[in-house]
Amino acid sequence: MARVVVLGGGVAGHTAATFAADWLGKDHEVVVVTPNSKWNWIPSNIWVGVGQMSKEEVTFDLAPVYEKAGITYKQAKAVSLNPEGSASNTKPFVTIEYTGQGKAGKSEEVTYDYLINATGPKLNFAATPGLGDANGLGEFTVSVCTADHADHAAHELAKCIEKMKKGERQKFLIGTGHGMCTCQGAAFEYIFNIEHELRKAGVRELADIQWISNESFLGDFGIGGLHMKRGGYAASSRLFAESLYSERGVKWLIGAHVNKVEKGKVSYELLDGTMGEESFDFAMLIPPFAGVGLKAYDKAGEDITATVFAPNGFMKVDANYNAGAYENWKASDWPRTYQNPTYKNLFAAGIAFAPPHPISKPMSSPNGTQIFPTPPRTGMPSGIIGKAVAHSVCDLIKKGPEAHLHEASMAEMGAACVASAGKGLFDGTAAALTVYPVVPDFEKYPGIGRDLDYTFGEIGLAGHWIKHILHHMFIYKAKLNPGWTMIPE
Amino acid sequence: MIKELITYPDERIKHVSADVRKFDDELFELLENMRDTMEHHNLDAIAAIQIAVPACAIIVKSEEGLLELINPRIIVTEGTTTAEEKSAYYPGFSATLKRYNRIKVVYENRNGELQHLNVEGDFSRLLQRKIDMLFGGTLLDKLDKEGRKHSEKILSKQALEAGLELGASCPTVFVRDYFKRGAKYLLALVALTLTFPFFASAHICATAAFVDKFALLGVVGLTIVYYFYAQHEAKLYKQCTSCQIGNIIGTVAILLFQLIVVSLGVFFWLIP
Repeated sequence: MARVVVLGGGVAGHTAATFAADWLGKDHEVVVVTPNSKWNWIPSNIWVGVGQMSKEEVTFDLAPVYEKAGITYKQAKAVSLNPEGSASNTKPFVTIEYTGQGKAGKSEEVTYDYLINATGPKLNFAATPGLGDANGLGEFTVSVCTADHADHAAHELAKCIEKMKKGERQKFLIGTGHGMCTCQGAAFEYIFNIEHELRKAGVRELADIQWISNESFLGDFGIGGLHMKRGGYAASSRLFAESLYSERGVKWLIGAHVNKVEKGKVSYELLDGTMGEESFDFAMLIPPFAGVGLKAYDKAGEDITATVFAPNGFMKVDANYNAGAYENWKASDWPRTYQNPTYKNLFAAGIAFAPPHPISKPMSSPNGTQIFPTPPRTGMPSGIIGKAVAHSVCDLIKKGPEAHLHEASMAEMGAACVASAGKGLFDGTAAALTVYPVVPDFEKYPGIGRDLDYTFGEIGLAGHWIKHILHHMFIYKAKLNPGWTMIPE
Repeated sequence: MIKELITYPDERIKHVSADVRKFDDELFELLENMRDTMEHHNLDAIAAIQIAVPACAIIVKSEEGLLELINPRIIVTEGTTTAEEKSAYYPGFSATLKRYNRIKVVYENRNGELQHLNVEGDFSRLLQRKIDMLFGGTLLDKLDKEGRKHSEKILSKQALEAGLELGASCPTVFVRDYFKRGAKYLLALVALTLTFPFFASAHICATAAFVDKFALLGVVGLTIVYYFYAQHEAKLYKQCTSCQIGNIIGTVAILLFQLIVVSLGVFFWLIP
């Protein structure tokens, strides 16, 4: 009987664990280690953040779902890895520290035959002074990264709307809180949902809405832009985004690294090296992501963290980490199997794997500050990678160590994204876009590196309905309701 | 070398240009060709795509001479202005449009070194127009829906008069629409008979219901023909197949929904 341990219960981890449990059946054990008691459909957090959904609607308890699936659930956070075991334990193990289940604070060594690291990111609020600290989100800004953060954001937003109803002007600043952030898409959705809610509340005239991000062009979204088909040609997301900002009266400022947050004020550095300040009454700034800070030790207890993990804390996999400068980047630099090169029974999925390099063009200010989006590994790619990794692990267990590993390269994978720009059954709007491949393949598709035959994009009410249907569909799937395996990632 | 300058209705202008990744002889040659073409046509500025090369490069006349901007990006904007603009892509055409007044642009020079510019007024508008071109945008993209439609009409008229062939974009009239219209008219006629019970005798209603049944069968037939013919037609215009298929499925769904509603009326209301 083999034991598969999955660290993390987000999109990648939950997908990997549930499929592994389904495929392996009762002959083997699947263990999920996650510090959270609830599963969260993160894409809908932006709706919690504007008070259009409750926290309960985007989360559910993991325990009953894992019980149904026959998965051992440990509500704990992983602290360190011993891929070779230790002096007292011959099997590889992960040391965990409980955060719930009545054992909070207690440590345990969980041995494994295969380990899937899908911890997701550490929300690195501490990277920007004032944005937060080691304990998380600071007091000056809000966030929509977790359901609790989003709930808090909704309350703060309601306070601003109250003030505006009394005639007070308010300034909203939304975007990224550091020069090396990803997830511009979430901030993009949030700014337009706020604009939509302010219009609905009848206070739009009293609001100044400002976008600030580390993108070098509007609509980059961390993947060097998307394209929408228009009369046989692909139009850049920059044109679409710019007209949306102008139509909705939202000002923008990009190529910015927010380097300090104070009460009612952020300081930033621009790509041209100049410094600036922007005031705010309400600010939602996405923090940069880092690895969760897992340590790794060899059999003798020596620290081998640098062997297993990249300097940013994400796990090394079968990627080419020596690709060099932008001009040398290739699609083949991106990982295919997500297997750790040193320890073959270690895999990573979702945000937890270390990407070989960014997708967007890397840029620095004359002062040497790096300002560009880091690559997103969320949503659809995360789910697909989680499933592929689970498939590989199951085959390794069932067919033996020579089994062929399943592949899911982000350079051969398309992604569909639906970005909400306002929630409402009849007046909602969302942009539905597909991109193929996520990572541009400059050799296969000379020029922009994307296959425009697989490009689709529309903005309108139908997009909003799609986003809403996806919300219900993915929660249905994650709860493992009948037919869940048929729903795509 | 002087290259051919792309003008309307050549659709290659809509290509999204790729970032320049290598600052080598190929780039220098492209810049030289752009400069020669620009001088030959006496232009104020030129984007690489105007000589049909989808690369993010612009040359613009400035007070200090010719300025080369590789991978330019607008990062800060301030204020707006509205003015009439012309573009070498649309000879003999102008449009009044809104643009940012002051902009901050970052770009690379031919050695790949990051530079920046703060510009305003006409020069800012010119740069915005060229940078839009690198992302597949022309003057028309800055207009609202109405303005764009109006301009497209003027432009296509001009092109036809000049004896130019318009690009193979999606046609506005499809043969399949005749089937759709037939189904809709037939359905409307059947719906009309639903008012009969208010004023006509039971006998007339029964006759109408009898005819309706055949008419409804006709609608089903036309919808099926529409569906399959439309699929065939959609494949003829490859550049817009995906959006057409979406439309076709939507149209059929709406037709079927209407058919169900009218049928329910015939069977449960008209036939007592």
